Amino acid sequence: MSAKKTLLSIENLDASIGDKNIIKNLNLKIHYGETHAIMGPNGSGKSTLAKALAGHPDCKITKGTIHFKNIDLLTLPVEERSNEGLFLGFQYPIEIPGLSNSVFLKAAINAKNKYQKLNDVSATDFIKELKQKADMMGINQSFLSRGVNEGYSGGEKKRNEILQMLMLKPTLSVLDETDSGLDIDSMKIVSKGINSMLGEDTSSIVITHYERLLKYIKPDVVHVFHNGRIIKSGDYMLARELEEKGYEWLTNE
Amino acid sequence: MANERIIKELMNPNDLDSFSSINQENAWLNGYNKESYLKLLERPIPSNKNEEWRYTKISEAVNQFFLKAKGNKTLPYEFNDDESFDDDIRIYFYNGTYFHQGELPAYITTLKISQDHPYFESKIYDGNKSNDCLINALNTVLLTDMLSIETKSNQKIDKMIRIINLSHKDSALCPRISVNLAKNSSIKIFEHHQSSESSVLNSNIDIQLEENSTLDYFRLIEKQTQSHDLSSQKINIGENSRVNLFCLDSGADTSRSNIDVELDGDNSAININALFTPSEALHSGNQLKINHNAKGTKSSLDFRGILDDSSAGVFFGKVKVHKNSSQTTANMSNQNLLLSDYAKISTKPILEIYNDDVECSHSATSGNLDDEKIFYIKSRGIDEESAKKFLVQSFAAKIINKITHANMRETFNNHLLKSLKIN
Ligand SMILES: Nc1ncnc2c1ncn2[C@@H]1O[C@H](COP(=O)(O)OP(=O)(O)OP(=O)(O)O)[C@@H](O)[C@H]1O
Ligand SMILES: [Mg+2]
Repeated sequence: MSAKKTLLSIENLDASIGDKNIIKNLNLKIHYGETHAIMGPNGSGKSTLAKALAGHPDCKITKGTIHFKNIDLLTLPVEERSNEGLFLGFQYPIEIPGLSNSVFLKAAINAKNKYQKLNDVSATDFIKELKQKADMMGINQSFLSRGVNEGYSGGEKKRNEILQMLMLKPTLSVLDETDSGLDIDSMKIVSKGINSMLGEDTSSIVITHYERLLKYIKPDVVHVFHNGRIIKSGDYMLARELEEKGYEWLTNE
Repeated sequence: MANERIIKELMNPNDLDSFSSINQENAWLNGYNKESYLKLLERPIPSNKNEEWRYTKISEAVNQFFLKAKGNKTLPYEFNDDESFDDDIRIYFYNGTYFHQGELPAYITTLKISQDHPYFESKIYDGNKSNDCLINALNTVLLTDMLSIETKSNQKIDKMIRIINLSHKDSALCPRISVNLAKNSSIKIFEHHQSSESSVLNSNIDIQLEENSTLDYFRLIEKQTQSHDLSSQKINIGENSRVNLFCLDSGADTSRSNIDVELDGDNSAININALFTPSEALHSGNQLKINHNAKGTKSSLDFRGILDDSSAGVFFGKVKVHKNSSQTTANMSNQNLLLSDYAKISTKPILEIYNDDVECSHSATSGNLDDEKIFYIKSRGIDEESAKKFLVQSFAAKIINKITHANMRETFNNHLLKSLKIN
């Protein structure tokens, strides 16, 4: 196998929210084409890591570096991280009543195009693609003119996150518990969406509590997160082991 | 009394004749002007301690009103009518006079003081009788012409009646409109106060609806500079009739709207959807008094304030459900978005209920833009400024989207974006 190119490299990272240090000396490297799963107990800092990557203002980096596509990610504002190809699927997607889904998505795509010095997307191309991908995500057309996540059920919000991901075509997707609260059919739809994005030039970090999603998307690496850092890494079999034994055998060591 | 001093310093009663040269030949109207003026001398100008006038610098507005009224002079008019739709009837109010292009339909009359005396007199009298407020009294002091809109039974009018108030610099303007809808009739009115500088506008409208009639009424007040905008809307609604009122007020030094609604007929209804968007050091004051006087009546008030810079907004809403008004529905909501740490809002929704068989709700919220929403939008590649604009627009969209009339929705949306400095 030829030498793999690094997409994301986190080194000795400390991150805090308020006065509380949550990410503690984290190291993680992700190559192009890889899918990494992150599992770990509640409150271990998984969402904080996702926020640190996306640049949430509450999350302060106190030590270490993050490089994305060899760019110092920490120097980029939130929107440029997205325009560079980083996507965060929120654990709790935000409702924005009154801002229509399609207006929002079109603005997002055009922002990215502008950043990459490309022309605006044509209205017809946009609608065509949006309809096709909404179909794939089992999202009814009528949702597209509704406010972003406005009055959506939990599962609908998660499918909408994946729809946004498909439309924005990120290089790295960080999906924070996108599988939580999904019924069996939605789980299949969401995994299909995630899988359709995977390729040699894209990578993803999938944060999850359940082995179920991983069965569909077959991660290359599974990490166990505890107390703000990775305490164990393995392959897919580690996820199955965790499903059976829980975390205690690791966290008590 | 302070107000007496203010008024007396500015003018003496003998000066009244000089308000308008047209007035001089019409002794009876002068009588009304004079009477109203004397009434003003008697009433105390409300202070800031008065709950209904708190945060409204009314004495300054009254002061300016008389200063400007004294200086009123006839100037050639300038049109600045940027929007027009083919299905409009357009009427302008300028320099104390209504004028229009082409022939007016039979249901609209401009009442000149030199004509139709008894008719005009009865109209003023109706208005004054039912509306004993400061704004109305001020309006009558300068009153010259009146616009009367009167439908016949079963008359449904699709055209939009556009009434454009053109204030010019250093003027006081007192338009007066009387609207009477007969049974089974419907009309649409769009009242537009174009942006002006150094002026005082005092507009009064008296609206009566008989049974089964509908009025769609749009009010657009553009941003006023060094100006005051006072208005009184008095609305009486008969059986099974309804009024849908949309307002956009971008603020003035003092912008004050008094809306008084009497739901007199069974199953009568009022819907008011309003946006107020003052910026800089401007003010927007909204006072509503809704009386549910009959069975099955409905009121729905949805006011949204977007306040920038060091502006101030006021919402004072009082909905009263009287004893015999069973099966009443009353919903009142005031939500405010403060875009700056210096912007202020005072909100007071009051429900007074004297009947058990009612469905009522009221709510008032005020807050800043939500940081989590801004982050969510930015995380999709959109810059901070655009993210904020989206949020402000989405907040206002809840009102704008309730306008079913497509041209009006577009007009209101354009003016909204203009007042928010978006685009
Ligand atoms: N805004 C905040 N203020 C204070 N503490 C916070 C804040 N956000 C997160 N924390 C704390 O940081 C720790 C890590 O939270 P985080 O959301 O990253 O956990 P998680 O691993 O994603 O958990 P879960 O599996 O429940 O989603 C928790 O103890 C949490 O209480
Ligand atoms: Mg989490």
